[in-house]
Amino acid sequence: MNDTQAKRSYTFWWFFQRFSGVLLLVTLLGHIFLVHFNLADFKAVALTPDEVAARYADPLMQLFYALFLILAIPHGVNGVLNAIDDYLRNDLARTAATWAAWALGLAVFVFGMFTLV
Amino acid sequence: MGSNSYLIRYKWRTGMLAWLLHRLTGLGLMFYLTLHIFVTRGFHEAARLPDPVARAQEFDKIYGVLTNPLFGFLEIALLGAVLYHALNGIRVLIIDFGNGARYHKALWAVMMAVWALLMVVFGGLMAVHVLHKMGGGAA
Repeated sequence: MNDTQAKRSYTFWWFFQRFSGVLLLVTLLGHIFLVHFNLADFKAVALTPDEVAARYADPLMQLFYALFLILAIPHGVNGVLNAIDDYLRNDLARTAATWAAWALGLAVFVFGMFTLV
Repeated sequence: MGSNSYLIRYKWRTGMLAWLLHRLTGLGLMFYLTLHIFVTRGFHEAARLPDPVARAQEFDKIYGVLTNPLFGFLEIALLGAVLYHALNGIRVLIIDFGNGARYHKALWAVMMAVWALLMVVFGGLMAVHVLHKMGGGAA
């Protein structure tokens, strides 16, 4: 650690990682098993256009996916930042990689939200 | 900065292996999430087309790529990565908020047994699905 390093509240992010992780256990696993499996017939299923259109016309699903993006993206970006902190020793490289990780997260978030509306 | 070395020395014990796999699956999932959102965007564009014929055509165009057997098998690996990250995540929560540090190795063994079971069942269902389509069956 030194003064030129970008500062994160490690306590906050430590808690956030666990908090979002618990919610992602429900939302992400729920998403996989409800969308990509038919549990009643006990098989993996392919998507159909009508099914996708219906899902995204449903405000509850939109809310679910918005929540999903809000939880998953910072969780992922924070994980990437932890890896950057561990492996990148050069200040410039670390700062650049940190900004790139946030930029990627923001791009995915914005694109994901545009997909919903 | 303690060391000038870019190489990090790993101790190959259960905890390190669990942590390393958690990091690798996590980085992989972030990469996948990015692709997934961009592909999903294409799906929604297609699904919103008012004409049902055009809708099905556009949808099939994207789906034709995604239902390539290679992607089918990669999705089984994806399920493996998600389940590992989820199960080891539960282990981390038990270690941090419970008394899991006392039995973290046993906990990892339990999680890996659950992982194997879920992979056999749900990875198996996915493999059946992919092989069925490769055999020319309906999706």
